[in-house]
Amino acid sequence: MNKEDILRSINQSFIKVLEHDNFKLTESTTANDVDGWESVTHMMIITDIENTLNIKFKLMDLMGMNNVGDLIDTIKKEI
Amino acid sequence: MNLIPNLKKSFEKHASKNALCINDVFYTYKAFSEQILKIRKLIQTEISSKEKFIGLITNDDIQTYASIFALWFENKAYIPINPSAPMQRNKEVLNSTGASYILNSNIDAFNDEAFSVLPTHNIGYNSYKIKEGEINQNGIAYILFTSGSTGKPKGIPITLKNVDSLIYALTYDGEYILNDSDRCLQMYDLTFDASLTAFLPAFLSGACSYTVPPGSMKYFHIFKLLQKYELTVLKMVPSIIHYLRPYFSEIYATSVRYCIFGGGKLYEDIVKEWLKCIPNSKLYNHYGPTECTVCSTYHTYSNTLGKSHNGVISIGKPLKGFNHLIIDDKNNIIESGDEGELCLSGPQVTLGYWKNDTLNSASFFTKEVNGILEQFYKTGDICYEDSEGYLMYIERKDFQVKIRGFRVELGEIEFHSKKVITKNNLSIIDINNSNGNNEIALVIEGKAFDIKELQNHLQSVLPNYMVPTKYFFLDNFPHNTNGKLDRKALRNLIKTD
Repeated sequence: MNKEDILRSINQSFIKVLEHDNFKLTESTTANDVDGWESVTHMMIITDIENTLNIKFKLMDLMGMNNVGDLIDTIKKEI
Repeated sequence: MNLIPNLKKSFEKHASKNALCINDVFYTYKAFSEQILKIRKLIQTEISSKEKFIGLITNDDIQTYASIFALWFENKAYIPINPSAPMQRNKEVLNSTGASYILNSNIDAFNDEAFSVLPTHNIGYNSYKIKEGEINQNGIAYILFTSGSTGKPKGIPITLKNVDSLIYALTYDGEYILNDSDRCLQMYDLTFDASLTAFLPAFLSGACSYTVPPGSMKYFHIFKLLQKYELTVLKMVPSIIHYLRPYFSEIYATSVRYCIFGGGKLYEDIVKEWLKCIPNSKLYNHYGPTECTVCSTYHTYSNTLGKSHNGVISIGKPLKGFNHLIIDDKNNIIESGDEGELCLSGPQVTLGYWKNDTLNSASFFTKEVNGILEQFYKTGDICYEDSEGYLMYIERKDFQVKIRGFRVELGEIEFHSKKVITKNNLSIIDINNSNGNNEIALVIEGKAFDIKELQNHLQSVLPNYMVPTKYFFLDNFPHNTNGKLDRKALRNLIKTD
């Protein structure tokens, strides 16, 4: 999977959990840029990505994530 | 009363020790005491001694923590104001107490011309000599406002004497004794009274409190602090471990010696797993309404010793000083161990809701116990007491729910929703999400329509934790045989949606 494929996939997870598509995810997108992306939904998005891509994040990796770019980089390491 | 003298003694004795760690910056008790002195000077210079209630903007910095003690040492109460809560609500809270002064360490976070906002981050005087006065133990320490079912938040005043009784009771049986080497988690916003049982025992023992910044993903930040600083005392809301649960296999914190939960139901299955992550820790379940000064009962839980009911860990036995009763719908005392409403009296119980006689007469009653007339508070919590005296929490009697530890009256959300949705029936319910935590759902009867205006309105009048996160439309609401809305059926209907 390249970066674009990963972005497309996580975009679907965001839509599914947040129940809207009123955002455009880029590598620099943070929780402040997306309506409804906060503590509660963050963990649900993470779980959905794990299930969809059949990967398992490490808590240490999740802790260091500051934006969508970090999320993509971590996924690349896990796949 | 020992609280104020003991705080002063601790600050002096532990001058060279760290009191606070905020965003990786450490502050010693000496630096903390200096901040308190500066703010006391500011209070003595700018605020009349008649002004008893002072707003405090709850920023995450040393000045805000120092302000609490500066106000107490000056016989004043703090009214905590979260700068991210809607301005209208904050002003309502301040106006209801008559507070006209506000201490604020960050003017960008809160400013309003209707109040005298005194900055605490940059106080410059030539001398910080201050006058020492006598402490009035019956004086109010803080007034907290919690969600009210009539649409207005209700104020709960707590006196210094109440707080003093709490500290005495918490340490009475020797089960929870901190020392000056402890590193304690302080994850709570200061508008939440659980913050007091996080920072007060720490400050009284010369321990260091590690704060969690607002707006952060709290569970990640807590894990980060735990790893980096090897925290020894964790006081948390149960939702934190629900979030961390998928990653328990990566957590092995041998440094933790006390872990305390409070502010929501604590489930036995997850606690059994969590104990493996903190193998050297004692684990306590705290219970207590804000009206009874943070904590009223507690239960020590271990894998070999611990009580539970339907998978929910017992709230244990009352702290020293409390009397308790369980009553039925007609206020008769239940002696049989059957379920009923838990009522509490004792030195930690508030004198009553702030300027609210109607609510006070509904929530408090007096009864003679051992020849003394005691004022009992009806908690609204349905419990039963087992044969060994352990209290088991069953459910709420009313429509109050806990969201991330915060008390939420569903009626208050309904009240504000009906300002926008005037033509449809609607109902607010709490639902469990996939993490095992509570969320608020708003259900509207009728065909789906655009709810942006409703969402915007709720965001402008309610704090973030009270704004519904799920919205549903149903053609018809279910009713029971009495014609009343059947909330249980409603919950099941939207589950299958």
